[in-house]
Amino acid sequence: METIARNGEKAVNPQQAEPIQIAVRMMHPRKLDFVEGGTFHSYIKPPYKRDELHMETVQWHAKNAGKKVDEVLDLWYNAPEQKVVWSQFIDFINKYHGPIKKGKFSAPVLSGHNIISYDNVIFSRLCTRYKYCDANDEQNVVLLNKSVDTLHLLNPWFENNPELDSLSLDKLRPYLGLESKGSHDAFKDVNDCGIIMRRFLRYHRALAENKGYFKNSFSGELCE
Amino acid sequence: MSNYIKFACGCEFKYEQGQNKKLISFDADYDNINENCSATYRLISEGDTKGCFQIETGLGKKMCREAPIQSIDDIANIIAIMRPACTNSFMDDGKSLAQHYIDRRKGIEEVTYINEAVKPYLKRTYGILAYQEDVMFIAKDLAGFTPGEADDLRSAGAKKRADLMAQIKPKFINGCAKVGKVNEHDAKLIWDWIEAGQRYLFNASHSYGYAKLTYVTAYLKAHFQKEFFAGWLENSHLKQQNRQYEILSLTNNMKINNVAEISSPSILRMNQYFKLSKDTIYFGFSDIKGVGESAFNKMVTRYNTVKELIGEADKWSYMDNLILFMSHLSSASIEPCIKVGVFSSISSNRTKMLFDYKIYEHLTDKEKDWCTANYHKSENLLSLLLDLRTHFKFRGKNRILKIDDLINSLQNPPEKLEDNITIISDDEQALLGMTITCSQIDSCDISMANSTCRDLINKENAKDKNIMLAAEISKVSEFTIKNGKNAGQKMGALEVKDSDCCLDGILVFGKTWKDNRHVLVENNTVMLMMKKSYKNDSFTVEKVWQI
Repeated sequence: METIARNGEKAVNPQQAEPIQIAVRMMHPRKLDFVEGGTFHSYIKPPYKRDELHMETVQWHAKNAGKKVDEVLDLWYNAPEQKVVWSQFIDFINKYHGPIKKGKFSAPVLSGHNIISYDNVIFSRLCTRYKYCDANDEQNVVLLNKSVDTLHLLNPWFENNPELDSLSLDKLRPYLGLESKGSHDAFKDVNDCGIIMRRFLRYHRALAENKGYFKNSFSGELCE
Repeated sequence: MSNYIKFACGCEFKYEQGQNKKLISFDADYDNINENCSATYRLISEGDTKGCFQIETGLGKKMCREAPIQSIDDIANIIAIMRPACTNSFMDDGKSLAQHYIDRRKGIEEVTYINEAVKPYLKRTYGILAYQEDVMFIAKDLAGFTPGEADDLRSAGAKKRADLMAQIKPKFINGCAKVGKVNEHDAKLIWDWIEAGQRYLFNASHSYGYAKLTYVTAYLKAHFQKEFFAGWLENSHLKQQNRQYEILSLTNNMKINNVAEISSPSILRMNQYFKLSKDTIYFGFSDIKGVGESAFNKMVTRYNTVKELIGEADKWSYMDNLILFMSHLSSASIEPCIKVGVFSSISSNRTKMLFDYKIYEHLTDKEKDWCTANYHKSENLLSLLLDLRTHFKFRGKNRILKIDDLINSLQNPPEKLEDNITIISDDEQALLGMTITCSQIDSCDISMANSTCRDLINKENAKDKNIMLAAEISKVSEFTIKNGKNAGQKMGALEVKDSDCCLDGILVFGKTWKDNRHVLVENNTVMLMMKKSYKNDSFTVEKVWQI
């Protein structure tokens, strides 16, 4: 998601941020290939008036998009309102449960960069706002605790790597050889995240398939 | 006009023909049915018994294939000996009672009798004591029991009353001595043999009653396959347990035998339950998950209303369907209908139709009324909403903004509004219990495959090894091997399906099972390299690839 906030609030705070762009790509959970036709992309009209927006954030978005502030604002304010897009987004997610539909237990898994501490919080808020929730007002669309956060996925691989002082996508892209142009566009970001996640999940699975490596491998270990 | 239809087996039926030579009904004359129909016995002997009373299970099919079935007696005997009591009763040689019967019936094993005196009563079962009634005949003939005493013996055995058996034993022994057909030693042998048999004997009157019904169902299947399957499916809504599994098995059997096509429910038919029309059996609306009787009745009422306005559904346009029909019904019933292709005759793009329907549902009742009055000028929903935006008197600015959002969504949809094979097959699987239009395997690269499920079932293009099958796994079962050199090891049994039909009897052993367990999961699409096992008509997997 790309987000905006009001004056006096911060878009980096997931409790205050409101989405202005949402992009999704579906990935097959076993094959780890992008699903053909499985994309969702929409701009979202901010729930505030133009003059209420946090201007620095608007300027930042305009700079990333290579557009003028007014062009960016026109793009957002000509987009559908949040409620309409959110219902379409939830409908899109719900198409991918597979043949056995068991509510959030069979729902697709949310994946993204720093998703657990940011996007998931916004997701939960908006699901509650638009009543995609249970009797306790908790979202019941997906199982959030199954989310795959590429930030967490990469940390063990790069924590001792002195060439990377940060695992933000802005730093990762040039290091991994991904194109940086167009970054901070939700669709570009989600594509890059998907590519990164696919590679590292395949590494994990290749190790995990060698079951003999782990079975009983802890016997004899002493707890100090 | 009455006509007669004659089959190659010699069976003849009177039937009524309607217009266009359509078969309306036929008279099978069950009371005088031909009990020597070769086509019927061939069907049973081939194990093609799905839908036939009592013998449609895996065990029933297996036994029918093994033991020659040429008479009602044979069917009754199979029904009696295929029960667990007989299949789990092992003789001193380690062979089960059921296997002894089969081997004797096939002529592999010599038919012997515990005593020549019992031969007249056990000839029909090839020397095997299978029926309680035979115990009664033996008791009456050898021991002079009255019918009442013989029935007491039968009852004591059936109820496993060891105390009553102990009381009857001296009567039997003494009775045999009086009658004199067998000596005391043989009488004791016969008694012990009867006593041991009580745990597995079956009631012959039940067995023959079942056998007659089994024969009749097989007889109908042999002669009128399409109508047989249609009749079973049309009444499947009365079945409580395992209904989805039964429908799947039956439709699989239909496909293998090229009996008829199976199709999603259709707005052109409006049938509540399964219905046969020409060479196609259509799912009923009530077979769609989420569409109950009440929802279906409302659909019929609305259908009739629209029919009066503009005619039958085959004349409806896309907008007629959306504005006049779908929008007047609950989304809880319409959305499943769209997903399974009820409206495919109007538009084959289910994704677009669902998207348009949901957009239209955002309109207020007054806006919908305006649309109903004015949609004829519009080619599609987008042009209708643009028209609405221009000509309708909205209450406030907010409502106009909402309509603008809907128009924006139609002009720039957030997702590709094209049908996706995976979603269609998942939806049909979830809502109908089976895939009809396409299957997961259709979206995979199956160029390496050299066989289909149908080939392997019909033994066409028969290969013994290097069988390459691309399939979706529908069921996985894990077992522990009990006997042999691999005792204690895990093995797997798979049921798979491709775009044509289903196949079971696929086994995975040892290292192949262990190394591929993560891939051999339900709903996964795989390429299997297999070889045929002639021992039990199954296939053994040698290699597995994710596809």
